[in-house]
Amino acid sequence: MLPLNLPQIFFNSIITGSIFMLAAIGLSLSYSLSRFPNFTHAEYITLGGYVGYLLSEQLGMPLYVAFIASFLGSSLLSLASYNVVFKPLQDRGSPLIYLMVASIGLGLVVRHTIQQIWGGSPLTIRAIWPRWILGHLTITGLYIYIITAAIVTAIALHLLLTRTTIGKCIRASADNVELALSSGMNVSSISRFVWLIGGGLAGLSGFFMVAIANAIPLLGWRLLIPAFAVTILGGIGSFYGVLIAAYIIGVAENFSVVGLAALGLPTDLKMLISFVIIVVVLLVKPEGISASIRGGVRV
Amino acid sequence: MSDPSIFVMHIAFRIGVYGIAALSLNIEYGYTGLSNFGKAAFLMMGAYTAAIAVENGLHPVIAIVLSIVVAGFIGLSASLFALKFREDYLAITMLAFAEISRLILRNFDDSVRALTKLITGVEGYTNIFGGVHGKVVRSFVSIPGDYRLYNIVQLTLVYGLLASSYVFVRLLSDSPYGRVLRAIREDELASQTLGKKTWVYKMQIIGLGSALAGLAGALNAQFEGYISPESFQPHLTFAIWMMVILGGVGNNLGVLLGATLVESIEAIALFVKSFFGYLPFDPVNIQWIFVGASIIAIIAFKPRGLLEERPIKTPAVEVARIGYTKG
Amino acid sequence: MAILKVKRLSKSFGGLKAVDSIDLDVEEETITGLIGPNGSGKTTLFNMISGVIPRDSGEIWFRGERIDGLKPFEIYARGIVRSFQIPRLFWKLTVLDNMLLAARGFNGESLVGAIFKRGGWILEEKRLVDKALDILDLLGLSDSAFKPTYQLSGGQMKLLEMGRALMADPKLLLLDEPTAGVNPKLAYSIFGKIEEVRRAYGTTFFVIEHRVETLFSYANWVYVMSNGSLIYGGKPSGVISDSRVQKAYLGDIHAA
Ligand SMILES: Nc1ncnc2c1ncn2[C@@H]1O[C@H](COP(=O)(O)OP(=O)(O)O)[C@@H](O)[C@H]1O
Ligand SMILES: [Mg+2]
Repeated sequence: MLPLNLPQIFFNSIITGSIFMLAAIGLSLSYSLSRFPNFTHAEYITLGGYVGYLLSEQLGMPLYVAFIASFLGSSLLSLASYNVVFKPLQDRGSPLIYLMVASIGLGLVVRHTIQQIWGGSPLTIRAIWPRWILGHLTITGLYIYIITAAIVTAIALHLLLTRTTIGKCIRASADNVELALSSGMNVSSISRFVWLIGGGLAGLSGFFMVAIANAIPLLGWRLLIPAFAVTILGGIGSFYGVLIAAYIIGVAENFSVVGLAALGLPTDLKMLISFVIIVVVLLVKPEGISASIRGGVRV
Repeated sequence: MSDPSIFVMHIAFRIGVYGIAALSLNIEYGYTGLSNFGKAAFLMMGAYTAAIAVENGLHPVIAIVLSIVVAGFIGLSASLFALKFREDYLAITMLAFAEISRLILRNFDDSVRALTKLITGVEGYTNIFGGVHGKVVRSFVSIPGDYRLYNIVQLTLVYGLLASSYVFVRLLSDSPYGRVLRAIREDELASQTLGKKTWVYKMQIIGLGSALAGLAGALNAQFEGYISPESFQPHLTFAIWMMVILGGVGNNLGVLLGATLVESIEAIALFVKSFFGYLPFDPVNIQWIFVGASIIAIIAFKPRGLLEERPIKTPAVEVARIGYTKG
Repeated sequence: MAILKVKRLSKSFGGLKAVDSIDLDVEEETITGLIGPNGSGKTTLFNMISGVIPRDSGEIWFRGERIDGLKPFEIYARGIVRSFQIPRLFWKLTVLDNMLLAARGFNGESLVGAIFKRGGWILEEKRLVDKALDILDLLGLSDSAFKPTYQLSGGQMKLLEMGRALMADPKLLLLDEPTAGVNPKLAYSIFGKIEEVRRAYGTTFFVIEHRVETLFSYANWVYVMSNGSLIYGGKPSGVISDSRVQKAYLGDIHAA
């Protein structure tokens, strides 16, 4: 058995988990509020990555500007796709599967526009990050950035969801749209807010992926299966479910990478973990872990 | 591809192949309401099965049969799990299934090699699926020298099989069996209270749909002459969905029309790409931007497609209908 | 002889006891009524008998056989057919197609049969179409036979629910508010037809109904439910004077 660098694996799991969390929050909340799985979400991730690349690499702006811009760019795209495409289709009575097809179609529009602008080859940000070595553990400035963003997001959203009126409305609607509608909540404007924030966070995750590796048009699509695994394991529409599930899957992926590498198997196969989680959760406990978090089943 | 006749031949062939694929999705989604977003995987399985079969010297007819059987069997097995899901879960699972199948195919040979080494200690050599490099596929038709005849035989093959598939699907859909499929689509629980074992129907349909998709995959693979996991991206599944929604969900002629239109768009992009040297844009990008935007427009403005679903036609019902309109 | 026996049957949704330990019998070849204020658990009881939702506890017996735990299609196979309070028709199909779908043992509905035994099912279907048109005629729906179902009026939808159930030659027919949304005169004639069918085929009817007067002129026996419990079982004539029933309904009026 080869020696396991456990601290490093756990640390990497936190990085992966943080990115999954940012990528999945919007997917999960919009799924329950708007009641369809939005495949365009993948492109909010991709766009965030390319916007970050554009500002930091092509325009030479400081990283924090690129960081903010990747959030803004994707949040605007997300809001626009809700306002211009999905809300009108829903008002026309499009069934769930049609909305899903439309979201794949819109995704193709966005992805191929990106590919038309930036081309299909991988693009990298050549930032030099400070690096610390603590025993077996290597930490870079980028990782600090990612962890900080994840912690700030988690705390901010927790406060928003528990302390503010709109937050309470979001939770109520994510839990049960019919009930929220019948109690007179303005679900449309709550949805807009959720799409805006969720898209922006997805953009951030894309920016981080680009900073870690590189920008490719399939960036978001590659993150989408893990993001769905997080959404489903966490329980669709459950923010706290996403938090927990993202790190569970982050750990599972990083250990599977180590295991696969040790066996000499291609590490690409780590994606199997997400797929197995999706299938098993849907078969065994379709409401995910959210039910256990709340200490009961949905009534 | 500078000879126009080759170009036309190419389009004509692809319309035939994707016509079969569109019919297969139509029995699944159009009639039964099963949202199979993993179509690409079943085309891929048919394609690889045929490639391996002819590689090992099997007769093309056997290769075709094997592709149908393998894809159908895998579809049937997947349905054992998948049909427990409600429609959006089914859609997500099947889409993920297709991506995972592609991933496994891409890494299969390397994995076998690694495991062989791990177990036996010997660096083995496996080349079944060809990994990322894909596979060269020998054509089902071999007529050296005579390109015209070759094309005629290829077209006869694909349109013969398309016509048989069409007749088969029509016989199913215009029958009491087809009526039950539509009942399941409209209300599965109500169908169960009327005694229908709905999951049996759903399994049969996923099995049949996957088998037909496997046939389409096999035909296309031997015609193109080369396949790789990249040929079976989600774009492919999406294009087949586009054919069905554009042409008319639940209308067999409609989905064939849809296949013709979607393949024509593809052909135009290919044409532009190959006839003009340098362009400031990539026609393939424009193609997908156009296709993506059109599907949204169709869903918004013509959700039932170009040809709408028609009532089920069985002899007894037709006789009664005629009697009714006369009386 | 009781064709249906329900013993200590219960069902809760979360904390709500929708059906609370109910015992009742339905005698063969009767019209048995089930009434009770809204939300008293009547539909939930039918859902359990027809296998649409699982029971929490208790037993259901049909013609001497225990049927709780069976799947809806198995319950249909034993001769129990139901209609739905909110119609669950096959909306895009024609009225006639809806009727044909309820037919029992139709060989054309199997994959192999549909393709390879065409001659057989075409003849079979002729007979079924005639039967379906007869029932539609009885219910005054024959003019709509070839219309898509979503074009029917609310009352016609309820009639088709019943027609579809009759098409299945049931031994026991569970009707959930068959006359809701139908005008009073038609409601009366629907019960007339129920009585006709009962006489002609010996079918047993178990009917949830809000039109108490209409029901009482045809029912042989009536049960009353309130808040998940059975509060009355007996002749229709005794219902009005029963103090618990009065309280349940007056309470209902006060609440509303
Ligand atoms: N599927 C369900 N989930 C939760 N509550 C239900 C469900 N079905 C019925 N109920 C509740 O059970 C009670 C009884 O309902 P029901 O059987 O429909 O009454 P009735 O048919 O007598 O009007 C009601 O309070 C209703 O809200
Ligand atoms: Mg009721």
